[in-house]
Amino acid sequence: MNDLAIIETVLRNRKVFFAEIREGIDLGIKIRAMLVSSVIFLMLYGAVMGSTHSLWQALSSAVKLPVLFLATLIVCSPTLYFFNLLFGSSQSLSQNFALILTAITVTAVLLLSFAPIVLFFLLTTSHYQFFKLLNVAVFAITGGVGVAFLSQGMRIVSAGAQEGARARRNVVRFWVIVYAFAGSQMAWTLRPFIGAPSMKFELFRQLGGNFYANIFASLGEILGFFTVR
Amino acid sequence: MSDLDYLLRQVQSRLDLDRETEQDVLAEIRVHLEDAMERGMAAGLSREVSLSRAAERFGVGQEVGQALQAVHAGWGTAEAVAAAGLPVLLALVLRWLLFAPDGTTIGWQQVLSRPAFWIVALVALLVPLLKLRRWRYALATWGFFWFMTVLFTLLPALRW
Repeated sequence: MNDLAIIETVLRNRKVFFAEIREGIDLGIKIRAMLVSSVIFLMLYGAVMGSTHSLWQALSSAVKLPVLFLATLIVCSPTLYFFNLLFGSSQSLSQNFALILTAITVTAVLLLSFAPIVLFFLLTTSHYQFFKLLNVAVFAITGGVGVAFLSQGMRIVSAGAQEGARARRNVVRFWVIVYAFAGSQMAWTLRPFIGAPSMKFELFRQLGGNFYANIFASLGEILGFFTVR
Repeated sequence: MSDLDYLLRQVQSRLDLDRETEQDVLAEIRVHLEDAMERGMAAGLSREVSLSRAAERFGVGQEVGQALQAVHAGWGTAEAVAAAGLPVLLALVLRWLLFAPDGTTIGWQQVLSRPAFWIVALVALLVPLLKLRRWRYALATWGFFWFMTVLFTLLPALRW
């Protein structure tokens, strides 16, 4: 429960929280608490997603969803750190890590808040493509709010250093796009998270296709243009 | 403003909790102080002296406010998180532990005769009641769990 208490600090006292990251106060404790909270929330949401298919899919998605976010964090952290460094930032890699983790924690807690709604839709609709798009929408909303938090955090954390401030703001914008692409590709690599009802349980599917083409195909089926196999 | 209110304001100035938790904490301090004041006045002390001694004994002031802040910070949201997550978790357990593999609830009467169902129901009641400080959240968790259960059982055509 103590680790979960960090959620209130992140959501209510974010300025103090970001200021403490800037000063490097209790970074280790903060990172640990955010990691624990995020993993718990993402596991639960993953289990809900996979529950449309089978128990194995539910368990698999409960493990894969935290892996997806943490792997994306690890892959994308150095880019943000080195580009910020290039434009005069004095933050350490741990501070950058903590900031991105804040975004993931916010995303994770918002996903948790959507979990009862997604569970309700899971029970009341059997349309796979609809459920998939519902989840994409939920991830887009929560991820968007998460990166908005990150941008705000970056502004507060680098408030002291005026040199290269504008360039660093652009770096964050550029990084958000990279993060979104890397995240969606990571999700595509680790799929399935929901599991097509016509297919047996698979831990991973073969590579091929891409995330965006699949979403357009799902939209096409929902709108009645064609049927996805 | 009475002396008691002034003391409580001092404590409140050091609190930055959600409004409900803040009011709960202040109400609890007020009850303790009023009890101590009544005892002091029953022993023949004036109201002011009773309050002053009670405040000394409880250590009411800004320092206590900081200590209370450290103890209570984050609990309100943590409980809300638990109240949102626990029913979902229990619903998932319920589905995979009790319902038919095909996800339908046909023959739900059998579910009620399984001990596992009642264990899950008991956990859904006891864990929030024992772990959450606010009984309303526990009740909401319990209510959501039963809403899901009734939804499952009344609409057997629902397929998970």
